[in-house]
Order: sequence, then C-alpha cells, then structure tokens
Amino acid sequence: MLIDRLKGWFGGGRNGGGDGGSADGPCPDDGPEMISCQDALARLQEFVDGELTDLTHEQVESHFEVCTRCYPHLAMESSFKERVHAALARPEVPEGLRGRVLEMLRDDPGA
Amino acid sequence: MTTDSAQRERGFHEEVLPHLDAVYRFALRLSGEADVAEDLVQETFLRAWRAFDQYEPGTRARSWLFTICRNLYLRQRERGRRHTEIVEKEAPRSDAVINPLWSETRDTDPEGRFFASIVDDEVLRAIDALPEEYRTAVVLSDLEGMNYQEIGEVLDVPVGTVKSRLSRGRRRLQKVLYDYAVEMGYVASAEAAP
Repeated sequence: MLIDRLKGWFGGGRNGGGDGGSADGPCPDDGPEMISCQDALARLQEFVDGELTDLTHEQVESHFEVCTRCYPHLAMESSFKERVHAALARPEVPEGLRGRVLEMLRDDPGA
Repeated sequence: MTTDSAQRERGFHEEVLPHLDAVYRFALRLSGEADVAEDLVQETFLRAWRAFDQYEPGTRARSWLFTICRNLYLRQRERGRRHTEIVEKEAPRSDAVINPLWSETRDTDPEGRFFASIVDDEVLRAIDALPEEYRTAVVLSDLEGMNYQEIGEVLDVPVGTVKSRLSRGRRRLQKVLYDYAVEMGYVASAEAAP
C-alpha cells in the first residue's frame, strides 16, 4: 500500500522524518509531468477514496511519493479513514435477527 | 408453492438477504439505537420483499436496500426536512483545499497517528453526532466502500454533493476526534507545541 511505503520511506529520515519540517521548503513539483501541491491536495479525498481515473491517480500518487509538504496530509487522511472503518465495522449484528426477518417474510401475506 | 413464487423467493435469498448485516450496521448508524435499527432492518426487508417484483435482477440490491432503509428512517425522524435545509446552507469554508486540522497537527502529529489511540466507542459517538446527511455519506463510503455514484443514488443527490458532504463530514469528525485526543493527552495541542 502506498501509505505504508511512504511511512517507511519518510520515517527512515530521508526527508526529515515526515515531521513537516520541510513544509516551507520548495516542493519538488516543478518537473514537466508533476502536478502542483495545490492540485494534489485538491484531489486528496478522491485519491483516498479511489475515485480518480487511472491517469490522474498516477499523477497524484507520484506527487505524494516525492512531496514532503503534502505527504502528511495523505498520511493523516489515510489514518483517519482506516480508524473510521474499523470503528464502523465493529458492532455485531444481533443474534437471531436473520431468523426473525425470515420468519416475518414467511408470514407476510404480500409474499 | 408455485414455480414463480419459488423463483421469487430464491432470487430474494440470493440477491437481497446477503446484505442484511450491512443494512443493520447502516441502520444502527442512522438511528444510533440497536432496537430502532433492528426494527428498521425488519421493515426494510419487508418492503423489499413486497416490492421485489419491481427489482431488476443483477442491479445494485445493496444500494436499493440502503435507500429503502434511509427513507424509512427519515420518515420516522421528526425534524428531517428542516435539518437538511440547515446542512445544505452551511458556508463552504470547510471545502478549502488545505484541511484546517493540518495547521494544528503539523508540528505535533503530522501523520494523524493519534486517531489510532481513540477507542471505538468514542469514534462512533463522534460519527453519530454528525448531521445525518454527512453521517450517511461517511458510513456508505468508509464502511461500505461505495463509490460516489452509488452513494449519490442512495442519497438522491449529484456526485458533487456527495463529495462535498464527505469532505465536510470528515473534517468535522477529524476536528472532534482531534479535540478529544488533545483532551485525553494522546496528542499535544498546537498551543503547547514548542
């Protein structure tokens, strides 16, 4: 997963340990095919949600792979999404609910 | 049992009933109460069963069930219509490209590791406190993994509105969870940072 790769990468100290310390420095977004920080962040939500086309996804991913300024945004959104998913998935479905639904449908005159 | 009714029942069992757990979790987040959620599930499947002749096999049964469930919930809710208007008229400030939370966490926890320290109950409490329009979008996206188009079908809104509701809902949620994490000492507040 991209986020794991990035955590390992930045966590290894390559660019200041991902501490945002270089946020005021220049962003390596001036390559001919690199999108800007503004564009990458504008697409962050869609990127995390898998809503971008293959081409745009690749462009945004390439940006996050090299931009220390934007990487923490991606890391934060990903941590958040994972946490929300885990909490939402936790509640157990009440025992017997399926049986009660089936019984109700069997007894329904509209069936 | 006639062949037609047997086919109908088989189709319902194959296409609709497998989504029962998902509908329950959805109903639970809509209502916030297990008893109410269970009633919503039963009513949802009863309606789906009665309307199953109009269901087109192979289409999105899950979206269809969520739509029925949400409509039932909204009808039961007292202040639904008025509440929707308030949410839709909110200032679009939270749609800014830069997440406002970033300015608070950039020095203390830039990767949002504090989210992992917060217990499930607190996360669920914060989700349940969101306006229904935001909460539903977040649940359908982050629990069910539905795409914007599918969420738009359930909510009967355009994709752009789905994006906006997700963005606003998540930012509210992030802020509430961040404030909780600061209060609990899971993350240093921005003011306390050196």
